Amino acid sequence: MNNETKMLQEISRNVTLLEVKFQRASTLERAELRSSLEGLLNEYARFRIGLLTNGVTTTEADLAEMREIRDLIDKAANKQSMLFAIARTIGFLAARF
Amino acid sequence: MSLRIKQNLSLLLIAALAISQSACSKEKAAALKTAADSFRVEAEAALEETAELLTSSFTSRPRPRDAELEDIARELRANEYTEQQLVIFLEEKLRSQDPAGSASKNIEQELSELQAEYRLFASMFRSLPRGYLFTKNTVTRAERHAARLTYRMVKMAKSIDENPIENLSARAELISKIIDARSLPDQTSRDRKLTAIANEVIDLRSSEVSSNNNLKIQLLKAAEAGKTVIELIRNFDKWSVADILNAVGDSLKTLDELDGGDHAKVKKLIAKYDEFVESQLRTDKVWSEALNNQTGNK
Repeated sequence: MNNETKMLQEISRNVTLLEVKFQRASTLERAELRSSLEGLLNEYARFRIGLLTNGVTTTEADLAEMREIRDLIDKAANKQSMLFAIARTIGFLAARF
Repeated sequence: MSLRIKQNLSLLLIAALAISQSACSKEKAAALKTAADSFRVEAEAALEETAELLTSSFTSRPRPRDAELEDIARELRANEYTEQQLVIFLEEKLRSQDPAGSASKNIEQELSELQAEYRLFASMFRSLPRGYLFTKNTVTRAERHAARLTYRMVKMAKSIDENPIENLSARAELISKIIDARSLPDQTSRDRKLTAIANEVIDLRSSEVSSNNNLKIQLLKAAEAGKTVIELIRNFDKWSVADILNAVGDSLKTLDELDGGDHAKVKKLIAKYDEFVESQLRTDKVWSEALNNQTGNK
């Protein structure tokens, strides 16, 4: 069992125990426990997301390049449409004269 | 021949060439656009499923109105709360947000940001069927992004395989039921209740295994779709329309075969995809450049 798995197991057990306590508590006790439970659940969520994405991140530069590629292809489409329109016009004129 | 006629003839030649190439290249471009869309659809579904499984794993089921009503009345009968305590009592009872609300929101936000990346990726190709004549080098630049986004899907499947998502709130509910059952004074009722709980334990195990397997399969489907996009980008100029259609057909067949299967089969599939991405990372320049700065590579 690696350290991440051990850590996840520990947080998961703590969440389960606190959820049991919260479920069985009176309303006033719940009001006291609420912020601890919220904090622990946030910690669990953060840890899980970290494990899942495994450090594979998309940087701002990656996002910018993807947008640039999209814009270049969009522009190429406009250029191609224009070329085809010219070709059609020439074809039409060539057929008439 | 006058300059004007020469210009017209050159234009005619360019146009004729473009049109003669267009039927074949247009199909290739449309196939790549469709493959990128399919990658987006599968990845968005995988990320949606991840968010759902994660948030439901720690969100308690709402109590039925009758049970809650009984609890409130019992608590008020049993306690002589002061005015100050009653304020806190009402505050707590009238809260609209579950304690899991903030963690759920964080998970949804993180995963929705990842979904946006897959949408942006697919949108790169939205005009390709209308602009394929001038995009040869631009399309090639998309490969590293496809590699990174595919790698992520495989690693997510592997992470869930190593650390399955446990239904923590259902486990807490079972523990609470066991505590209640053990406090029953009548031995027969106690035994009956504990047997019913034992059944619920087994049901919970099946449900956890099946929901984790379904999620891993969906992540691998996204990875397979990403793998196809990478192949199409890499061979966009070399492959014929038939080659591209074969690759898309093979990928659809693999996606179909991924459905279902037991735990052992899913484990084997994850190992296969992980081996593929790791070998690409070791041997392929585009993959290593796309991922060499990532801290989590293992």
